[in-house]
Amino acid sequence: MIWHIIRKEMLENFLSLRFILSLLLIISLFAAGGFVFVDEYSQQLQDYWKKTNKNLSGLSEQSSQLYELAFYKQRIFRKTKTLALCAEGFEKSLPNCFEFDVFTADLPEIKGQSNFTVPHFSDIDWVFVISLVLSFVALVFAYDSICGEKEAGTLRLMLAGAIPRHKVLFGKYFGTMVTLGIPLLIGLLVNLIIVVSSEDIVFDGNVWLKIFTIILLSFLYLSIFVLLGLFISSRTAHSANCMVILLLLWVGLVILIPSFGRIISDASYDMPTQEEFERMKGEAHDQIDQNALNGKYGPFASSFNPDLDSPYANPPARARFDNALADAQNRITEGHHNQMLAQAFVGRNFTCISPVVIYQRAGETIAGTGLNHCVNLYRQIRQYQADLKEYIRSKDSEDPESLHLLSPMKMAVKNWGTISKQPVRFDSVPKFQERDLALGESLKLAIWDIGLLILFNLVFFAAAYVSFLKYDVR
Amino acid sequence: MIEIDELTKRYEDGVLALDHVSYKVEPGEIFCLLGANGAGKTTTINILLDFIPPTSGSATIDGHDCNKFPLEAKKYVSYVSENVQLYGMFTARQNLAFFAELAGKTGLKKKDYDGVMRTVGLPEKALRMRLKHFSKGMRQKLGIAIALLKDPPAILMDEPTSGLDPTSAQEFLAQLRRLRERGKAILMTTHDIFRAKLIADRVGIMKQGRLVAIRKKQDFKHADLEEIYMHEMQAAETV
Amino acid sequence: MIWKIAKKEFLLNLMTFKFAVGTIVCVVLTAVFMPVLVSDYQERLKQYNGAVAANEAELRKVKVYKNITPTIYRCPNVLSVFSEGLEKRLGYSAKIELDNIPEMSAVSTGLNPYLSIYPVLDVSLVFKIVMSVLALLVAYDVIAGERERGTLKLVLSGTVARYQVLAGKFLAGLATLVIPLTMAFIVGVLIFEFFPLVDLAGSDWVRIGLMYLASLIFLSAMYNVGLLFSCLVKKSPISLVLGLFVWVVCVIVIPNGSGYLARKIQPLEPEEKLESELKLVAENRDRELKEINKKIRSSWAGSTAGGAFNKNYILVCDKRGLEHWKKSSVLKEPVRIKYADKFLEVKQKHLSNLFKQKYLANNFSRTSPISLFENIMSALAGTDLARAQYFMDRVGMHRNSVVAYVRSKTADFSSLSYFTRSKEGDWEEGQKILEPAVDATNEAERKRVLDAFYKWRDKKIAETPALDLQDFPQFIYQPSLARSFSRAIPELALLTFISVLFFVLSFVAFMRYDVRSD
Repeated sequence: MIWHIIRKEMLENFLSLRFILSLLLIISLFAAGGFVFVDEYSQQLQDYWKKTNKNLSGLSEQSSQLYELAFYKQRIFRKTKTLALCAEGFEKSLPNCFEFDVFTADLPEIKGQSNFTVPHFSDIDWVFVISLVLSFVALVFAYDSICGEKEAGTLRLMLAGAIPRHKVLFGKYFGTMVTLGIPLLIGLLVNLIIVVSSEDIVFDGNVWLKIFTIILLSFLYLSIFVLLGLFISSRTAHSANCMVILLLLWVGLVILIPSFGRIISDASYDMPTQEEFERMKGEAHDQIDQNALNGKYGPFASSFNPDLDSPYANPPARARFDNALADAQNRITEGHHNQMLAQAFVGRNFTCISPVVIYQRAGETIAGTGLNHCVNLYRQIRQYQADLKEYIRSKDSEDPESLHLLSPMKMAVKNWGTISKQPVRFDSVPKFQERDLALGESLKLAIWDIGLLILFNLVFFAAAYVSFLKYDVR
Repeated sequence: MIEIDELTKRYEDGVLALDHVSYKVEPGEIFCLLGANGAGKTTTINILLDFIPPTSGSATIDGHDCNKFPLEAKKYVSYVSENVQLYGMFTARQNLAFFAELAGKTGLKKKDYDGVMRTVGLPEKALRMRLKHFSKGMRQKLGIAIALLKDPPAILMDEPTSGLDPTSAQEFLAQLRRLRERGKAILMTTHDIFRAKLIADRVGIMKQGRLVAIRKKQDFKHADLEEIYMHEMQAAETV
Repeated sequence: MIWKIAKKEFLLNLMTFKFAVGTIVCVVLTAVFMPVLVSDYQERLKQYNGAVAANEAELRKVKVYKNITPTIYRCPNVLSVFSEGLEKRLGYSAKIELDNIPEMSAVSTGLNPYLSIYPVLDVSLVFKIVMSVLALLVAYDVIAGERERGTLKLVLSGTVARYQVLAGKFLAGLATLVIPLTMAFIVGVLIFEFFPLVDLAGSDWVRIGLMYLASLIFLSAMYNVGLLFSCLVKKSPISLVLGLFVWVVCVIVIPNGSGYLARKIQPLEPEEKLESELKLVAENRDRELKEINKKIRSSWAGSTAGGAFNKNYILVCDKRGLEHWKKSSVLKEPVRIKYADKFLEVKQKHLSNLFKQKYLANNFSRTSPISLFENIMSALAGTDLARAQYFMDRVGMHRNSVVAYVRSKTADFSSLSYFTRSKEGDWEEGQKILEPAVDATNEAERKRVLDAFYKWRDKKIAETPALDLQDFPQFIYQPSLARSFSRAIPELALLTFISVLFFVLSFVAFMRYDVRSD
């Protein structure tokens, strides 16, 4: 019985203008997105490898003397993810370059990608097409599914037959989902064909699994809008009115609520200006200076005399002083950075009343792009920094001529020999490699978002169900 | 008054909707155009109202060519459409006032509205009712009221009795008689042979774009109009 | 006749569900957005005032001309509430210093880069999105719907020409849309009254008026698009679907797609190029400075103290130091100024690439009335690129006047007051106090000597008054209404043209419209 209704819905829709228009629009968007991606991805990947190799070759030059390894400012760039095809996550405007040496780390920077004079735009990735265009199309298909049939008089005819109302509802829901799913799947297929047929891009098993997950997520997301359409359709008697309500709901959910994120973020944190930030660092510097003068790190901690035998030369104290300085600066920088991240996350957390935000976030988490990508990368770099430091410390301990004082003062090394000057084998030096999260890990991170999407579905379904059961079909 | 002269209409897809049709409707006469669906009845009205141009021939109202000087011709004709919704959110009075203004009738007073409502048999309090609450019969009557307010010499009616219950249809016919007495030239298309027999002064039978027969009232007073109709239809077929 | 049709159409529109819902939504959204946006502006204004005051305070602490490195802050634009534009994407401060001329940037001035994932929120979003949808909803069944109801036949059976019907419907549609627009503007403007700290100048009111006019033209354009579809099809749902698809394309696809297209056609130069060019200039500068260093190499002794703007200055130094620094300043500072200009040149070239790409993206997006409208609003509000450029130009000019000021006060960096307030004999005084430390026999004695020295040092610091900067050049920033308006005119003209074009097309379509029912 339900199958008949599904079939009728599908056939009715296939012959309509809106289906043809949707098909054209969606396929051209996905095709465009595919070509865009292929074009830019290989270029970006090349750039990434060039810069990473430059960094590595610089690092290998430093391995002629151990201490140079410690002072070399490595530049790690964020890797372009293959799954940016699905969810680009605004990565073009996010920081992508992390500069650090073993002792300090700067704030991440944006190097050479985006044109900040062009207002905010996003790439035509899957999430963009699906969250904005397809949700709209879903409403266009669903808006008259109930009230339109009432106006035409066919709902009466249908319910005059021996079919229970809930089966009619299910039939309409699945019929609309299939009608929506066909242009979506065709579009995705076109997109994937374009991408896979390019030589530079290779998908491994993990990537395919994630793509599949994102497709499922997309259906979950679109189902919310179909159910919303069914719900409103079963609350109104005129399809024109239903369209008005749905349009305004769409505008509110898809465009207005996500825009509030920026204001919420701005209001939630009082971020220090650049001058205040510098001042904080200056004050910390003064504080450590004062501590040194008070003898906290030992006598002559803040002075330097190149002659080891001079009474004013106290390497351990000086090392403690320099490390205290570096730690203080690092704490402030890291604190500032964490605040920036927290500020960015707050906006999103508050605006996840909108399914769009939830879906975007979940898509980014699974694809491994966006804000979470930056956070993960940052964490991995910190870990690497610690590993490298440990490596240098252990190698340094093998050198009997070194004073074994790991501190960020180059002159101390040159004159006092605080760190070993022996060469090391470059193969043994830890090198940074960005690690992708496995599907299981990404899913764990996205579990709340997936749950929320399911919740939306359940709520709207229940609403549509209850409404339709009481709907006046005359 | 209403003159159709060798009127021909061929559509772009080749269908011949009217084939050299000629007749006249005089003042004080009710002329019923009978015919099956697609015979060309509505096409005639559409040409008279300049909704489509004729391929050849002419249609004039009070001497003004409907195609060459449509705005002039329309001054002399009123139109009662089949099954029109009118403006649902407006009251009857607002609907009347709007169309009267379009017809150039300004300065109508309450008594004019009351009068026309009475003439068509609608209660005066219906003036304040919104159209969406009107029944089909009431809307039909209001359609006639709109035509009456304009008070033109010619009236075009397109399937006016379709879907009316017997009482409303009777009232409608009485209305037509009153209009005829006032000297209006009325062209009415219908496939309601029964009512046509009751009201028409002359009947024109159309089949596939051709006017196959014109009969006067006297001709079918005694004979059965249905028989004549069916006969003409068959005859046309064998020709 | 046109007026009669317009009146009837207008009254009918007012009684529809979509009008009521649309108007309420517009007004409510404006009433919700405005307080949020204005209070955010107020916060930024407070921050701005605080930063400017802090800067002034630092200026008053300056003791040597070398340390004059104030920061210029960009005053938040109150009209960014209406159209945010680039307001939050560009840096809001610029540092005035010798080594560097500040250029427009989004990254180097303390903005949180992670916030760029968020789209902009401003009141023009309500007009752009909600009101354009409303315009479409009012227009889509204006002809097709009447045809379906049968009333179009009735109207045209009267002595009214087709063009009169269309003109009447256009006027009525415009009048219908004026109501929510005006109500939203009034609500928006009234809300300003609840924020006493927020002041609107006379020119701001004129700008708001112009924005109202632009919104009107925009709505008429969207209405005419819907009108055209209504005149092209027989069934109103089809007209609606067509209109909505075109709307989605105009609102979502074109603005995003034009950015991409511009990137493809006019790609930016790789960052490495800019970096290597800057590095080259830096190397040249360092080489010149090194040459100078070699020439004036000398050993000197002195001690520094912390000064304004987090920079140190020489508190006391010996005679050799005074001579060394004097020579160094006179020779080095002009070099640094020269290279600051060279740095700027390189960066400007890079920036002009960005601008070229942006203008290309703009040109592509002009196919969408929504983008046109956004550009007009941004220009009128003063949050567009041109305004940002004006600010940076002014900053550059201010820097030049500051440099000229310092030059004049220090006779081209040759005066001692450029780098120190130390007088002859100060250094010897300090040394005399410090001498006993060398012969100190125990820690306590050494500490005593050091304490005395520090006390003398603090006295010296306190004794030196700040510089008298009464005639210090002021930062002049006076955006002009006429300039903003002239920037908005071409796009306003284009929008008007689109509106007229679609009306003319509707006219042509309606002349041939088949009013018969099926």
